[in-house]
Amino acid sequence: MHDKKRGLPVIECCQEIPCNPCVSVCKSGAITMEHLTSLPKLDPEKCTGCRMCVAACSGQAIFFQIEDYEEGFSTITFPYEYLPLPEKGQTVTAVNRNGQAVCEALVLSVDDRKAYNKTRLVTLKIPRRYKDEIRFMKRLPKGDEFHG
Amino acid sequence: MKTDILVVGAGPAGLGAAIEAASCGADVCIVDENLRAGGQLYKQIHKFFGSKNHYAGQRGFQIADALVRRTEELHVPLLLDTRALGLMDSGDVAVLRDGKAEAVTAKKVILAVGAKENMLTFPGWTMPGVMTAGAAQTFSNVHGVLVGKKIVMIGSGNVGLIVSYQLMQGGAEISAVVEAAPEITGYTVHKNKILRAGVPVYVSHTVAEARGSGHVEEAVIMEVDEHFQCIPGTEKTIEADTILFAVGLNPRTELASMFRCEMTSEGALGGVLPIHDEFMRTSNPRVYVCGDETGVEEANSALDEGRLAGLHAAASLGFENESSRERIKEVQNSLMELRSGKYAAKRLACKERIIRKGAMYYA
Repeated sequence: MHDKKRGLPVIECCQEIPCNPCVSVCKSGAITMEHLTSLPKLDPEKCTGCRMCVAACSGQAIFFQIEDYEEGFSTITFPYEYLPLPEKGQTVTAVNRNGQAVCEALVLSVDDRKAYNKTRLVTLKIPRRYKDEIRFMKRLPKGDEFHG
Repeated sequence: MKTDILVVGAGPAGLGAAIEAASCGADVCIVDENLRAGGQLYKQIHKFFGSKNHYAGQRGFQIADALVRRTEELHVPLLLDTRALGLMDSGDVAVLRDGKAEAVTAKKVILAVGAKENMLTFPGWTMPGVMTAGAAQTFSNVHGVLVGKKIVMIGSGNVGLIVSYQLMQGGAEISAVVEAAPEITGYTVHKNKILRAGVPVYVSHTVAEARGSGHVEEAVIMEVDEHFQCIPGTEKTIEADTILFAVGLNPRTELASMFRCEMTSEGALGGVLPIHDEFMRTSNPRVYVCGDETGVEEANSALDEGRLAGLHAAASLGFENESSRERIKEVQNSLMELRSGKYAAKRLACKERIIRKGAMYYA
């Protein structure tokens, strides 16, 4: 059974373009595709929550969400390729799909692994009521690095 | 210099062609006018689409590196800073190298010279600060120079969206993406990346004027009607130091013309281009074409078209191995797959028309 505490990818790939790194990178076979131009399908039962698909998606169209993180809070993980990077513990402005500010949010982690090929995964703690809205953070201005 | 196959252009198409032809045992030589191989791939810092056999998930410059490594393993001479000038009366190809023109004798020639960017004209378009998106990308991703801090991008196709994203990564602000069509024309995933980053997008708009004293200081944008004519009274000014054109590309056909390759025109693929058959052979049996030169698509299709040209050119000279025919089928199927889906329907129809015309030369 899928565990709500462990979380699941949210796949927002909505156009039939020839692309399948999410399928290639998924070791548990949870993401499948009929043809190269089909939309990916997720089998939540098979997903181990490794988040590799979030970093691998060339279109940055996969997010990761723990719906039931804490009482009233969820998390959202998204790929981030701008500098300066946010840091764990920093408060940033969470934004929606159109880049509009939704609320302030705490950065829970900024993951960088070799397998991510230079894409960082940023995870924010967000009020659960915004879990379907928040998909990114306001980019940090240059020279305004966090020193917390 | 003498070779079985001369490949002109070391982008994805040319490298794909050289790798396949050399793998079949043909003597291959590549010339490219640039200082580095990889063509546009080398300027791309984003992760690519496609499948594993197109290096999907790798960034463009990483794909260029992988392809160049493969040509090195196959001992294919890669002559950089070497420009193919044209066809000589003798049938040789003239190339310019170290300031000297020399003749290359080749049994087959594969042209993979790519495409060039379109421009728009409006008052102020010749002012410093107005340039193509590709130029801005070369400055930032090859030379590490950001062309401006406040940029207006004209065009929302994949080039406009990707270059906007990359310039933001470099520290610029995209003040606006301006698109004459009623909606963003590039891939939705590219669109969503720049929307999340908070970039203002003006659809059904165009840039009517660039203003400034000696350098761009603002862009005047106007709304357009369904015939793409400016609607009077809709002027808005946007503060900007740079205006970029991402308004399409057109195939570079000069060399193909010199080789007497018959041309056709396909608007959706960028305009006039050389006719070719299903093996990328032109009306001149000595000459193959591949990549953006045969219709502007994307790097994966260019790579596959190049592979096809290389395999067939080699086979036509007797360089065939037991898997050549199978490999040709495999690459043709891969191309078909890249052109499948709703989004590619127009491109596929154009390509099918071109190939039908090309087949007539070999019926």
